[in-house]
Amino acid sequence: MTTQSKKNYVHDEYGWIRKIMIYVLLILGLAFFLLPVVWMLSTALKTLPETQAFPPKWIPSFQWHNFVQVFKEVPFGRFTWNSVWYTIVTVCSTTFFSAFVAFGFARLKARGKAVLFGIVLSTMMLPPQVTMIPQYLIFNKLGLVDSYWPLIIPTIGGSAFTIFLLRQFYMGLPKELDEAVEIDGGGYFTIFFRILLPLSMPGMATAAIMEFMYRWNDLIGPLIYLSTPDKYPLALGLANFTAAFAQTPWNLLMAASIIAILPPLLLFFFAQKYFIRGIVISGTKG
Amino acid sequence: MHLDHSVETQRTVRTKKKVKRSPKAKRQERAFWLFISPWVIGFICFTGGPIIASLFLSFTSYDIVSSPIWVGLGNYIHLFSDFLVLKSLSATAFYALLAVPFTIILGLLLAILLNQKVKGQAFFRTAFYAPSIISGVSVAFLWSWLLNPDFGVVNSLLKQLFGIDGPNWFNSTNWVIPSMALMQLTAVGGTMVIFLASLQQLPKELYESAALDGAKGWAKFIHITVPLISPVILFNTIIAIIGSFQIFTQAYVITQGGPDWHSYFYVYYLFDTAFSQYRMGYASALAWVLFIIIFVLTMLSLFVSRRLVYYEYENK
Amino acid sequence: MNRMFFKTFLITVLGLVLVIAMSGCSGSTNGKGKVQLSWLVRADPHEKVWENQMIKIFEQQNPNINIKLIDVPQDQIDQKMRTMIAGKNLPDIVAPNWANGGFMSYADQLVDLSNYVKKDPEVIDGVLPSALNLWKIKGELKALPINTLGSLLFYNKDLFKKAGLPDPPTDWEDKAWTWDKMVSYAKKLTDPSKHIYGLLDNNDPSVDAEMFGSSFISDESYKKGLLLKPNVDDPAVHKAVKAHHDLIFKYKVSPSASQLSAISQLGDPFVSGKVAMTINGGWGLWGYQNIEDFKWSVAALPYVPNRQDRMYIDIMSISKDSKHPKEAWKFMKFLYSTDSLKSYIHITQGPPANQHLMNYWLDFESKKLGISKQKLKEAHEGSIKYGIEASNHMVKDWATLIQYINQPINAYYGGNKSFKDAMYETKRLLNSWTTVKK
Repeated sequence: MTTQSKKNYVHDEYGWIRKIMIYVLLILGLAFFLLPVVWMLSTALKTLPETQAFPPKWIPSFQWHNFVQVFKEVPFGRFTWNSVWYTIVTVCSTTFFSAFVAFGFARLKARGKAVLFGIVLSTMMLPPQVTMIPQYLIFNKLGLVDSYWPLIIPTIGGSAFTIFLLRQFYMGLPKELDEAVEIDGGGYFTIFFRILLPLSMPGMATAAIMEFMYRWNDLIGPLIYLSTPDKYPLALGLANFTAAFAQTPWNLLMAASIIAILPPLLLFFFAQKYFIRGIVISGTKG
Repeated sequence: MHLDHSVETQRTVRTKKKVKRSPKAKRQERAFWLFISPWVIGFICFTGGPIIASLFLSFTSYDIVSSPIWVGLGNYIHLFSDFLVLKSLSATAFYALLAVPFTIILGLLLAILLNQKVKGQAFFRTAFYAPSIISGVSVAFLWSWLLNPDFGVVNSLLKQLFGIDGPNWFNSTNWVIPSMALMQLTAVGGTMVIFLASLQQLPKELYESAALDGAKGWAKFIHITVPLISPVILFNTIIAIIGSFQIFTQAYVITQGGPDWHSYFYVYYLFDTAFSQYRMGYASALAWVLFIIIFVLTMLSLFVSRRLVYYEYENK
Repeated sequence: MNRMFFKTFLITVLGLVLVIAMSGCSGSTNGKGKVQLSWLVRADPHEKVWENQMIKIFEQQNPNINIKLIDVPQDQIDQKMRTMIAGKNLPDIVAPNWANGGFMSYADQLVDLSNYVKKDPEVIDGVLPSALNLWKIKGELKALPINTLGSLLFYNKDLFKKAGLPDPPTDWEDKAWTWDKMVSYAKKLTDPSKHIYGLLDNNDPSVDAEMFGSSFISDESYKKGLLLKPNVDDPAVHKAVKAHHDLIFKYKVSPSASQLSAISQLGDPFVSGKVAMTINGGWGLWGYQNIEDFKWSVAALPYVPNRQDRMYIDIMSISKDSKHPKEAWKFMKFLYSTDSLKSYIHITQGPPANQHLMNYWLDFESKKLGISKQKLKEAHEGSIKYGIEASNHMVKDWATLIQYINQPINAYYGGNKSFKDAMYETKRLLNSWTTVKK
């Protein structure tokens, strides 16, 4: 790593100023981004009257049992399990099929490709509120409403968002890679599975995380298709926490929300190392 | 193997008529269709139908219960004289104007910041991303607290640190849209992560050789980083445009479109026409007008990007 | 490589198809022998306790009937119901007033209960006629009322004591209890140094208009359940809107629209002791029961000639999509039995529509709230006597119309619009609705 040491040498004179600046920025950012989260935690640990105190209190009376209470009030464990399996299935399926489609759009030449890709993008532009009912009617005809199938089956077509995202990542990879494989006599599947898929791991991980968040938080899809409370995912179960007329138990709702964001947060914490692992693309140039 | 064989025979048949297309091109075109086949199947079976249905419905009067009645261009004509279309569209455009550039710039800057090698990198990344995960009712609740004019944290900080009397945020006609945009900024995590991932793909040698040439921070950023991640900048821009023009939930939960229609977003109006007025035909017309607006803006971005976006792998 | 990929691809697709097919089969075998009914309700922690209890008991008594409770957040019920109507599978039993669309928007989807009621007259025995006849459309009875909630004046007893004021009356016929008197109380109760407001009129402008004996829409519109003609120019409407505005700007006893939405973000400001009096729907009776910091009670609304009191009635109906209307009726009959209604009172504290249970409710509720039974009775009965059922239940598309009223007039209450502009805009918007082709 001789180049590495040279690079460090160039930067050393500013090194420590830069470091301090970075930390200052990070801490300022932290204050901004953690504000809602801290407030959420504080509310979750309050009694109901405390949530309405005036002026608002930052330090709660630490009602840890609110977290226990949540599990007593609603079948929270069941909701979580529904969310977990549904999210895993749809994320895997969407990411895989989208990657496949994205490869086609990114690396292969064909007539009419631009128009087709335009159609892919277009499907995102129409507000879903007007396609919801026709789509419901399709699945109603198929006898699949009140199950997760209407939410899972369409994932075999990938999602326009993920296809677009991965296409952009694939297009960022040098084309010499493909040529090298072709010279070696490999087909497109080889290029896709052996080269692009591993090389675009940061992109794939990102796409998967995005899809995860979307599925985990989606309220309207499950609302339209599911009619059995036992099948509800967390997002819908949480929305049911707000009272119609009497007081909404904000403390419990916040406690439930914290439990709900923990799985995606943990996932992110562990998945982000895939972003760190920059892949030295030239290494495979061979 | 079977596939290759058929390609071979077809090629021999076709070469007599059309000479131009090379076998490699054909093979590639075949592979292209194979690769995008999942999307084609999904489109034909599930997404395409409803889209065409909504286009058809936009020319009808349809209350969901009885069958649609053809009204020709009636809905589209009515749209132009509808006071709320103009109101909601201008609220939405104002929001997009604020949210799109800030999302992109902040997202990119944060990605670069979080890409620095520091202690606790994983923690910082997760913390910055955390507010993006909170959903729906909860996030609305949190923000109406934080931005509360009388006792919200933001205003009390403004007072204590700068001696400024903070605005009325969600309750002011002038500030309600900026408030929504500000709220959206803490949810910039998605954009940030996508940028972060794209930064990982940058080839290190380029930077090293640039460093040897004496390029410094800002110059490196503009001349190397930005061109290399430009496909992703384009992506995030288009997604931000689509997302901003479809904004709805925040206003529905926090302000109910107020004060005085100032946060009555276009899709909010569309939602009302569809599910509270049961004018599915009119709602579809509204949707298609929005579609055209977003489509034109996207095309514009793509057109601009032709000059600016740099693809390692360009083919057409 | 190619082959291997094709294999996995095929297996995945086949697997998916298989599982779908299986799930389709399991759906049809599920209902063998048993009748499955579904019951769509709004998500509310209190009501849900009652609903689950009812299902449990009913299923024990009727082992061949299975009931599925579908609870949906109130804001999303319209979306859910509309989609299900499009698919012709609206649940067997629905509560149309729990959707923001309200009864009138869904009336066409509901079964006529007249014949059922004729066969089982005990179901409506004792139900207040004025609370029952509302749901008759062209002679068809489309719903049964379960409770009757009027609007009341809630007041903070501690603040009244501190200001040295007597309790406001519960007698609705007390003509000395006027709007001006209420304002004079409010002035004494207002304490800017402690951010305490004397009076909060928690109602939208359409309710204000009713309190002053008028309405934003013509009488005929209300009767037909459809906006035919706005009534914005009526002097009583003007008076009502100005009276509300005066509370904020002239007397300074109420928060402005923007201040109100700011303090309401905390929750109901009456609960946090920030307002001394509030005009609110009867749900305050149980919404306020957990207040520990001060004592509170209820009173009549002030006397205004021709006043009307906004009333809210919750109802249950059977949908036309029901494949088992007989069983659905059986369940309805069960829900409206004395025992079930008693349990409803116990759990939700809502005042019953059935007069046979009134005494039971008064006993229970007065004990629970620590308010004398006589006072509670007076306050409640007056609110029903002067009651006019909520427009959001009785007028089609009210959710839209109220936006047309709320947005401009709240801008006036917020100091962002002149009276003239606000009224003009409301009138224009309401007028535009009368010509909208659906």
